Amino acid sequence: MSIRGDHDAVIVGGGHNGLVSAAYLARAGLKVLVLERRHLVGGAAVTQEVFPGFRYSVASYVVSLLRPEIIRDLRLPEHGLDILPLESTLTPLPGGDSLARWSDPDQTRREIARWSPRDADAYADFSRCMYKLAWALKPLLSAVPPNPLRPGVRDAKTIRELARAVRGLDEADFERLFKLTTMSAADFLSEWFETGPLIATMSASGIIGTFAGPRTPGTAYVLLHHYLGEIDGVFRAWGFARGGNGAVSESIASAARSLGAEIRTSAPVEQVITSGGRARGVVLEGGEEIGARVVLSGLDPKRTFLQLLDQSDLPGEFVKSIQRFRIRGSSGKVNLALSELPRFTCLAGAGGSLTRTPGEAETLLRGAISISPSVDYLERAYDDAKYGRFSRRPFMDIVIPSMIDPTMAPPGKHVMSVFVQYAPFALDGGWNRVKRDAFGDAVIDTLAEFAPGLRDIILHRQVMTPLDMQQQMGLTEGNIFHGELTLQQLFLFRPVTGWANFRTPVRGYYQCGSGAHPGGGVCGAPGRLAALEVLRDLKVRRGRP
Amino acid sequence: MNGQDVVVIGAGHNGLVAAALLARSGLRVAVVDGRTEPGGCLVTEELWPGYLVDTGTTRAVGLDPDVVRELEIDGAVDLIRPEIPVAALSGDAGADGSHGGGALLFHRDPEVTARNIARFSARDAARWPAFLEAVENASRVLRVLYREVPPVPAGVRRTGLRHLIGAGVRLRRVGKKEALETTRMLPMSMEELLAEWFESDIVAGSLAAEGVAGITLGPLGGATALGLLHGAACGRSPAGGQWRVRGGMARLATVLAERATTAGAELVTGSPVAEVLISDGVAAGVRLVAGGEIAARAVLSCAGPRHTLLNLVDPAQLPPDLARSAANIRCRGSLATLAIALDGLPATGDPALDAAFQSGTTVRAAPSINYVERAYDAAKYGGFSQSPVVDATLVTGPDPSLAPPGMHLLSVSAQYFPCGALEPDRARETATQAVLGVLERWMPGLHDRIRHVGVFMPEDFEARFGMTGGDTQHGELALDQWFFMRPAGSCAQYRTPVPGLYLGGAGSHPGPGITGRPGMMAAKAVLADQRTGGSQNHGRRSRKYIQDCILL
Repeated sequence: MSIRGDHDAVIVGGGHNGLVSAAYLARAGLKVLVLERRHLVGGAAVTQEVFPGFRYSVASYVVSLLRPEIIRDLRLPEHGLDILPLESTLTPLPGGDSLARWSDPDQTRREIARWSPRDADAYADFSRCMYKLAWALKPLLSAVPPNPLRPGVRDAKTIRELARAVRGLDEADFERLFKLTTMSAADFLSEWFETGPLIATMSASGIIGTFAGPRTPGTAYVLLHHYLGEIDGVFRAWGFARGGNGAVSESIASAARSLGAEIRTSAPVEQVITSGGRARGVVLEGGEEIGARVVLSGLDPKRTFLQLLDQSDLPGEFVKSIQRFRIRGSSGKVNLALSELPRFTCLAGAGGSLTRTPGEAETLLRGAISISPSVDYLERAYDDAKYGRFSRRPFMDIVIPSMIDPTMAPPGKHVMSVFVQYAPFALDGGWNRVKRDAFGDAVIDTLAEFAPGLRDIILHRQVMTPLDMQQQMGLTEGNIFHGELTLQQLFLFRPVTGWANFRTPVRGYYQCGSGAHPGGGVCGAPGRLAALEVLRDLKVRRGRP
Repeated sequence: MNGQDVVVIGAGHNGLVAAALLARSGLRVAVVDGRTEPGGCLVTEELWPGYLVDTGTTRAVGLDPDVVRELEIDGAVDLIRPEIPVAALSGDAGADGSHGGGALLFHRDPEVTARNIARFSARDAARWPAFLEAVENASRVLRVLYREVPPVPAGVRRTGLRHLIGAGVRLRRVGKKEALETTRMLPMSMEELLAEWFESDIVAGSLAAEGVAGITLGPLGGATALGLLHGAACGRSPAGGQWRVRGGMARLATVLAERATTAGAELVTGSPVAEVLISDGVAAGVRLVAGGEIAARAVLSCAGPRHTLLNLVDPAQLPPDLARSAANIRCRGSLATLAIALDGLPATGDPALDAAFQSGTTVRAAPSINYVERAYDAAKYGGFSQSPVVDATLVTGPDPSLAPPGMHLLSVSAQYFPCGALEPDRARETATQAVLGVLERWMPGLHDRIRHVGVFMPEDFEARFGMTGGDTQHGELALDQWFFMRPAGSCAQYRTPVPGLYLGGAGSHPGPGITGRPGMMAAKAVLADQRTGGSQNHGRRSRKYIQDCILL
């Protein structure tokens, strides 16, 4: 076979996964080119100065799942990666009370005991249990899903390895693991806890990025997904990257460049060139052709297969499977520039059963703030979305990055990142400017119930609807995970049964985005695993040649 | 009466099947039930003079073929199977009685159904046969699993290992692709499953209602596809509908009771069980509420697992893990049934629908997925559906013997009316109004024909049949309460951690649906242990089997 082409590997899309792939391939000595449509790398993990002096993590806003082996292998700290921990979660409640969880287990225990001594005990047990289950499932994150239709020797080994990890669990834990993968977050948590706001806030992590309410079976799994996160080996630590999430992408890009990869921005790929059932390179919008031995796509499965390829390149059955792959957008993002810190009623001591000290209040503002007062509240927010509306009173996950990294805003001023759910991509009548503003208003109005006076301190507001995310970041339907994280779309089935091993029906064409195993979040695992599979197929030994 | 080999708690269909099989194997068996007649929720009562009303279950899936064969039930009861199991009403029927597009008749002949669907969507009509095939493939996979004793995490019994290998072989014979596809389908919501196939509201709505029947979840809820596939595996058409027993469900109860007593089992009715006696950690019989004890070497409870483990067994005798698991079994009943006596036949204004209706077709008000989901929304917050999902069957159509001459009986099941949401009288009143509101829309003038209305709320199911939370399934049919998790990991093989105590009701594998299979499988577990002397020697099973099952 003649290899025509200037590059060993061309990577379509300079999101964090594409960059991770590039770095690993370059590290093995391949000549790698990354092609990014936008003027900056990072995909959904970008920091942009949308208004002068205020830097937003426009879409993706926290780090938890970034694989430690990637940080290590690519020496990301040397390239500027600095993750600062988010140390608390605050749930403001109507009436001025609040529920806080801290990084200090004793403090959390005291706080929860205020609501229910039983839950305070259960919380410690729960964390231990989830920690254990997360450990058992950890090998899954770095495993290449086997092909169950035609399993090879290596697939059998993978299954044995995964089975061995699970076998370490006792009977009760095994049951819980099964329940986690099948139950609703609210039901699962109700087996442990009785405190409404605690169940609601914890179950909220099960619905992030998912088009489902906390009472929908299947949402409990995502709880575990979040415990899988680790930063510097510390489990269940959410972090915030200095410089915003764009800095994560920048550090990976810098690592890739230093390893020899070339990254071209403003270089939109129009199509993958194929001949004889094999990928030969890509053609850019404008007609420039670039040859390569292999092509990797970091785009979501819909774009990877239905847009970059001609459908005649793929078996009909496969096309059908990709078409039915679920990728419904459910969330939006509101980024605010504030003239000062917002004043939350629950932190001002203006009511409720508890007054926080100024020190506590400041710590809590440095952490995550979750607008999730009750499971019913979240369900009602979901109900709106089910029938094609955005939530009138949405669930929100808020961080104030300027509290942790002052360079994000001018002195004395702040940026506030508000992740909002639900905002269905398939809004009744479609999204437009008026609806985007109405959506932004709903967010601010709801938030102002907990932080009165918020409206007066807003200098600028950026509202991202799922349509905006699709248009700006190329996320189909604005789905932040490149495809919903439901059981039937994970592992063996992600994105299509038999094609979960990063390969595609087109030889030399690989998937390296979040639509592949193990899925979304700024975790980089798909990028890394895909690169390792490419090296395997090209028979390049790992590491530098 | 004392000195039984086995005492069976509950003379429902599972209890009777188990008793018959145990007695036929030569064991001395007593079946104890609080109700005066055997049959559990297979019960027909003369609610009003001349009206024979099925006051328990109104929808049946069908006895397992193995049960039918072993107990020679074929021909013993006369089954009514309508040519057109379901007629789905489309759109919101107008106040003038128009049905906004008419009804969709799901015929037993798929080709006829496809032709009917074509009136709503040519694409859906074209896909109907392939959809039925996909469901059939999945139900073949499930049927293999349903024939097996589920593996449990604790380890695989050595004697069961051969079974399991056999199951693996049979699964392979169904096909690896089919098994994988089934694994993909099971966690889906009905909405997701149907979106892969159909575009018209009426097809999707009607099938969605089938998937969530008896479950307190809407069709957008994860793993509700299991409901549809489970029904299909139990021999039910995906479009639903019900076969009924001519003369009332109690006829089937009578046959099953007769099989049990003929085989030598002793029926003790009207005598609720107060407690499972446990001595030295081993089940030793039961104590009756009326006083008196029945000693036995084994106790098989076909009552709900929650009721059995939490109310009938001394908590001190249960391992704490099991007590917790039992308390966590979700039993959230929200299905209500109504019996409506009519003094004449109301007309719908649609001749085809009228004809079907009068021949026993179940008319279903579930015009779209969103309609069903909205009905569930109310229940989610603990309230009643204002526009409920309604299945209505004119049982006197094919079986006039159920009402006085010239009179009719309409049997309705509707959801969602969650247990305990309202105080009983208001609950009945509110549910009746909601159901009649829906019925009136397509059957104007119904109101004037009503002679009597009997309403059975989930609370009534709990009070009359001991169904915890009014859940007719003895534990919601959900993926986390299915197969080796039904009713709980440590009891999924019909044995419990209390030696000599067995579970064999609908709360056990393979679950609800009047199949008799749980009772049959439980009886086999009891027999196996009686032969080998004791249930405590489980042996260890390999957890790998389960992992292989999951990964297939």
